[in-house]
Parts: sequence; C-alpha cells; structure tokens
Amino acid sequence: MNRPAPTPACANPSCCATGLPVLYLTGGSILWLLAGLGLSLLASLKQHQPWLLASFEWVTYGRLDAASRTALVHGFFSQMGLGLGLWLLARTGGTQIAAPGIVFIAGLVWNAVLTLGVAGILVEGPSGHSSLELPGQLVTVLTVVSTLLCLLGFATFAKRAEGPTVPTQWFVLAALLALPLFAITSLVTLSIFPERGVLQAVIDGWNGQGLLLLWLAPLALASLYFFIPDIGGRPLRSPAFAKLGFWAWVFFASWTGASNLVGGPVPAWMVTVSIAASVLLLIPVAFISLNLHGIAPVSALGRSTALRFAALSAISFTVVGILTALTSPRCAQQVLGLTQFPVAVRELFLFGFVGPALFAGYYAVVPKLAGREFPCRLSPVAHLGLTVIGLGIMVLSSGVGGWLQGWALADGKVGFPEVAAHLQIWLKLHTLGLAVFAFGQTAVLANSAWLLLECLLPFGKPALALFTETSPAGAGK
Amino acid sequence: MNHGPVLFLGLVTTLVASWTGFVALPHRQLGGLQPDISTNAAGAIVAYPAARSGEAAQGAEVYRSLGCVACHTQQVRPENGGGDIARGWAKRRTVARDHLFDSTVLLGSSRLGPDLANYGERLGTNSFPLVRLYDPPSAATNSTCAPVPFLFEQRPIRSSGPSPEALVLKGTAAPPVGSEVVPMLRARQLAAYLRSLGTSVELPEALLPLVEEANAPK
Repeated sequence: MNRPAPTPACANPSCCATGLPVLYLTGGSILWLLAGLGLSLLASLKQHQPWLLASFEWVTYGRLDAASRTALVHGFFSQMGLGLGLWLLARTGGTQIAAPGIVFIAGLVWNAVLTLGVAGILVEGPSGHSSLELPGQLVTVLTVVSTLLCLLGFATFAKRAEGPTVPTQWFVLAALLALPLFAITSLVTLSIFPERGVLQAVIDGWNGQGLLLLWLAPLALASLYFFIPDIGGRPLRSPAFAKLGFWAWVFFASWTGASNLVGGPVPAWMVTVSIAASVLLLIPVAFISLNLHGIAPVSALGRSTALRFAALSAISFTVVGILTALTSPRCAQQVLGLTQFPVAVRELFLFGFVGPALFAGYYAVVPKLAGREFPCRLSPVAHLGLTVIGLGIMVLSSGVGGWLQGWALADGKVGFPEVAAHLQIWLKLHTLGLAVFAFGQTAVLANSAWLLLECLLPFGKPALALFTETSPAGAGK
Repeated sequence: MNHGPVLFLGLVTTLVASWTGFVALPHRQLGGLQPDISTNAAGAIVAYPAARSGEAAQGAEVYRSLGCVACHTQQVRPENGGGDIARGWAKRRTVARDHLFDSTVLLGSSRLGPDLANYGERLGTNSFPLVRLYDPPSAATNSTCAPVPFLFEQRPIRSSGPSPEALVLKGTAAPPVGSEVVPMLRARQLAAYLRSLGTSVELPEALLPLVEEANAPK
C-alpha cells in the first residue's frame, strides 16, 4: 500500500471524510443505549414483579437480562467507543480515517447483525455464555466486522504524521489489538468448536474481563487522556506516569480473567493469579489517576459539558479501581461473589467510568463534526445530573443489597427464602435508580435528534424541490 | 521518536501471554479430563459423570434458552468458602469433572435464586414438582422465580377424566372449573433436567464428608 503524505486535520471538519462514519457510529449507538436500558428496566422490574408479562416467553427474565447486556455492551459501549477511538486516532495523527466508506458500511452491518442478534436472544434464548449471548452464526459475522474495523483503525494509525506517539494513541491501539484476539478466540472456542466442560466458563470469564478491561476501558481512558488536557488547556502531569500507567494497565488487566470464579470448579491457580492481578491493578489506577485528576482548572469545568463528564468518569475510574482491589481477595469474594455486589461494581465501571468518558468525547466531537453546537443547552445538564443521581441510587442499592445478601448467604443457618426476601427492597431501589438513569439518557437522545434535524434541514429543502418543481431547470442545478 | 513498532510488539506479547494463561494452559490442564471410574457399594463398576438421558439433555437446552442461569448458579463452593454446604445445598463442593458432559456449562454468577448444582439430589425420591415452574410462589414461599406458564397448556378436562399430569393448583393460580393445566413437552424436559442435577458421587478430588457416610439414611 502506498503511503500518501499525511493530510492535516480538516479546518472545516463538517466536510471531511472522518465525519460521517464517526457521527454514524457514535450517534447510532445512543439508540442502543436507550434500547438496552429499556430492556434492563423491564428486567429489573421483573426481579421483584415476576408476574409482569409472565405469559410472554420472549420477555422472560433470563432473556431480557442477556438481551439488555448485549445491547448495551455490543451496541452502545462498543460502537460509541470505536467511533470515538477512530476519531481520536485521526485527530492525534493529524490525518483522516482510513477508508471511511468501509467503516460506515461495516457500521451498518454491525447494527443489522446486532438487531437480529438481540431479537434472536429474545426469541430463541441466550447462548448461556455471559460475555457472548448472541446466536452463533451472528457471532461469526460480528467478529469479522469488528476485526475489519480494528484493522482500519490500524490503517488510520499508519497514516499518522511523523512524531512521538501520545497516550491516547497507545490506549486506542491496545483496544484495537485486544478486541480481535478476544472475539476470535471466543468465537472459535465457545461457538464453532465448543470446549468441553468448565473450560467454557474459564474462557467466558476471560473474554468478559477482556471486553471490559482491555476493550472498553482503554477506549474510555484514551478519551480521558485526550479531552482532559485538551479542553482543560493544561498538559498531563507526567509523561513517565502515562507510560507506566499504560503498560501496567495492559499487563495486569490481561491477567484478571478468572477473578469472578472464586470458589468455582476451576483450578485454583487461575483464580489466585486473577485475584493478584485485580489487586495489582491499583498500580496503574494510581498512575493514571495521578495524571488525570486535578489538571483541568475549575473554571474550565464550568464552561465545558465534555469536561464535566470526563471528571465524573475519572472519579468513577479511581473509585471502581480501589473498590475492585479491596473486594477481589478470596476472603471478600467468598462473601460478595455471586451476589448483587459485583453488579454494583460492574455498573459503576460501565455507567460511571466508561459511559461518561465516551459522552465527554461525544459532547466534544459531535459539534465539531456537525459544524454546529448542540441546540439545547439545558439538556446536557439534565443528562449529567440524572446520570449522577440514577447511577448513585443504582450502585448504592446493588452494593449495599449485595453486601447484606452476601453475609446472609455466608451464614448457612439463614434459610434461602429469608435471604431473597431481604433483598427485595434493594432490588426495588435499583429499579428506581435505573429508571432515573435511563430517563437522563433520553436527554442526550433528544438533543442529538434535534441536532440531526437541524443539519438535515438545509439539505431537505433542495431535496424537496426535486419533487415539487417539475421543470428540469429548477432541479437540474 | 516514533514508538509504533515497540508499542505494537509490546501489546502483542502481553495479550498473547494472557491468551496462553487463560486459554492454552487451561486447555492443556483440563482438556483431557475423563469420567471417574469406581466400584459402587453393590460392586458394579460405574463412571461419573455420565452423559444425560435424552429427555434431560433436551431439558438442559430449555434451561439454557430460558436464561435460568441469570439467577441460578450451579457451583457449590468449598466448605471453608461460604455457607453453601452448611445450607444443605450439596454434600461437597463442585469440581471441574462435574460439568464434563454439560453441552453448555452454566456456572452462573448471581444467586437471586438458590444454587441448583445438586438440585435433583435435594429432591430425594420425590418427583420434580412441576407447579414450581407454573406458579413458583405456591411451591416456595415468597419465591420471585420467573414463572413459565407458556410451557403449560390450560385445556378443558376431557370426557375420559382429568389428566394424571394435571397440576394441583390452589387459589388464584387455579384454572376455571372444568379446565386443567398440563405440562407441555418442554416443561417435562426441563423437569427431567432439574431432576438429573446431582453431585453426590465421591470423586478423588472432592471427597464426601465422613459423618454423612456414617449416618447415610438410605
């Protein structure tokens, strides 16, 4: 492949080829966020109202649970992260996305496959592997598409202007390398030639941790590493910390695979290694936190929606890192594992750290690409406020409920019906939090839809004219 | 300076190491696992675990497709690691060999419902109460288990008399007079699967407690 001289970043980005695929991937993913949250909300309601819609097989609890996780992880987080990651590679490399047309088409295929897949989960049932619930054939297509998109990411990186690489690029590259490895391995060992016995659970756990810690987290960190210094107008505290944080993150995160199998029917060494890695993740969490926290001036925080989301994300990142390290050791997992507590940690990770990091990028990038500001100024405030309130209720209810559930379960004298009965109130609170959170996300959907409408209107008039004016002179030009 | 190649090689090495640790090595360690052959009390040679019967194997697919794993684990943790055994869920911890013939291994990660690894053994000699699937609260106090009425058929009682399979239902769950609720194929398959769940066989890597052996009632 010949390598043309890198073109500088577009002055008027609304015209540039980077715009369309990025807008499609990020904007479209918000529909998945709402769809996933809708399914989650119904599932959460059914945790304490089991008779709700009970006669419909396709919305039975187990299917809703799997479908909502799939819609959120593969629909929202992955696509938003990928769109943003590609933009970041283009922006930091002073170039444009490689093969934007193919990226756009791959995005279309991704969405079509995922729509079929989520419908498949509801109609046919989930695969049973929590990290990969989609029907087998669709997993193949999705793996091909995501691998292709990652390769195009490398092509974008290869087009970059000469010069030292920056932390944002490292993290995006780590994600683009990790996704194909995890996707292809899980496709082969869980779907095409399923492994025997508990090997399935080991690989499922490894794949699940990989998707969170080596695919979504690096994309989120890439966004934070770019936008916090960029919008805040101040450089990172220490380039050395950035390097140490990056390599330590990639190394330790890749060994946490069996951390949710404590006490499970797997060889003990896997669990021990994973626990050690989960605790040692504190090292990169410390380096990354030290580099990101407090560098943006407070005044900038008041001006920029994106920066406020980035701040929420950075805080959640530190909290979830410490929480994971504290609750990973065997003695803690024996009580807290298999309860609602891991649900709280997962929600804080996804909706507190990854989500806001991606939304920071979304609020910063979309106006640049669309060539105009978001029309409603109140909407991002409502979005952030309801995100914080909803997430707070969700995480506290799952966390406290799971904590109490764990201690009750650890005491063999407490009957199971009693344990379940005491959990009820926390499950109800969780539904409330989720409802507030989901309502908050409608704000960004409405704002984006309004922006899209404003962008399309100027094109709408000439297009309408094509149909209304019969004379070729009117339409010809 | 441009770090592209260093970055790329470093990342590939790290990821491949992780792949080796969690895919290749476990495969090497567990991929060749075989059933345990032993002689039972009657002197017959038995293999554990054995593949499930046809109906139970189909039931496993029903269990998977309804997403039961969202609330039910199938992993009993060791005695010193939680209250599972004290609660009477099983006599011993589950080990890798217990899942050797599961077509999809459903260890689960949440206990909104009780653990089912040894559920069939817990039932003893009773048959599985199908009403648990149709109307969970009527079989277990305060149960929030997702009911699956779509695996049952409500039909008029036939002239030949009520079906022997008809559920005994009370209160609001009871069908109108002259009707009965009978399990369809998938409900029976699921029941056969749940009945088949058991981990009470002793394995070299998971011994049964000695006390239990001495007072074994049956």
